[in-house]
Amino acid sequence: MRIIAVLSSFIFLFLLSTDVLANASSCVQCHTNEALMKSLHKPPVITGGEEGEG
Amino acid sequence: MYKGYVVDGALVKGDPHFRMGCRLCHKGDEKGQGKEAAHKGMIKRPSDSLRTCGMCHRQIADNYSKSLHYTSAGQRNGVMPRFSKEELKTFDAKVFEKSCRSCHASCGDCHVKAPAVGGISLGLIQKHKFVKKDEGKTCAFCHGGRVYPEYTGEYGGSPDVHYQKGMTCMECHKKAEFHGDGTAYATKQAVKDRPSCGHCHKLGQEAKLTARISHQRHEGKVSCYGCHTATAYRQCQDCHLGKGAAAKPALVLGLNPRDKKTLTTLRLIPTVRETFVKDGIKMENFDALPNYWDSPVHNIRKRTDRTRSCDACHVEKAGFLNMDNMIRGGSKANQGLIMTPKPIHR
Repeated sequence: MRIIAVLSSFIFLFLLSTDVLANASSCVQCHTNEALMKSLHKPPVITGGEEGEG
Repeated sequence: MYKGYVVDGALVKGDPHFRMGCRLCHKGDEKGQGKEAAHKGMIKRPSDSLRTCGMCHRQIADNYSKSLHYTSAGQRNGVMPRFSKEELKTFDAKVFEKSCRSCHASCGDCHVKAPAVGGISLGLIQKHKFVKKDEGKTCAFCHGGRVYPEYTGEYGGSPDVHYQKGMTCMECHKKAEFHGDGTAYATKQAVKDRPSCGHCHKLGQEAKLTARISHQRHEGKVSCYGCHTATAYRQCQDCHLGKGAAAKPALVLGLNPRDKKTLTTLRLIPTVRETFVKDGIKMENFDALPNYWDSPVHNIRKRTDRTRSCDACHVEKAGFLNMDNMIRGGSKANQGLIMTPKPIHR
């Protein structure tokens, strides 16, 4: 059992160290698609800063 | 701007920051179908909590938690002497935590996504690349009211000579100034290793004899800015009145309120008597501090009206603070900054 646990940990760490998880992400699928982002984006309402801000 | 949400796919494959997925920092549900499901529980600005970056960059995050860019302590300590003990408690609760502190910079503001000022941001600096620096998209936004436009010459007049030579913010302001060195400084004046003209321009090594003599005569009496600030710079005339801001350009020369003996460039920081009235603070000790403060103006030139002619100061007294050009209704402490240059005996 202990060997299996150690092996599982190694496999998990291997997965983390590759881009396997990142590629599977829906975040990546959408946020690397410029056309999709453009179509979904709603410009924020600008409340307006004041002159001299900062 | 939609580009604030577009991530470079190549980065996701190559940059170690993405190896553990977006969720590590942003939370949310990576397997969620559709925008709403995927964004449930998402953290928009993960580095608002220093623990996020501190998972890997612990020392930097620890130091940064004490740096002035994070604590904003300079703003609090700068105005604090105007308050009674009770007023300070009210200020801390009603003003500092809710207003001043909201300005603190997160790690991401400098390294990932340009900060939003007045609702406007340039978005992701380089499609979510973790950049070391990009001053024009980061420093320039938060310091875009005074320092950066003065530096680039956007306000008219001359750009700073250092800018013309291709120098950006971090040529003078070093990394440790931003990340901090682990010390919780009370003000920026207390920070070690701040930029100094003398780091590059050594006294006694001037090419021209006239410059060498002039520097010797004024050393310890006039700051470098006093003579080498090129043009009028932004004075925050009505910015703190709560009626909309109206900045005006002016060169103001007077005694440094921190030592009362060095002539330097002053900037109007108009905390007026009524500034905090709506928060229940009268400022019982308003007159303890002046409205003008020493300012390292960022439009330096080798030659200015004051370096060309001694008369600019010693005869014309151009730009010198006096009772006539002083802000009306300001602090009584302003009068202590008036300095009258001595006539030259030719």
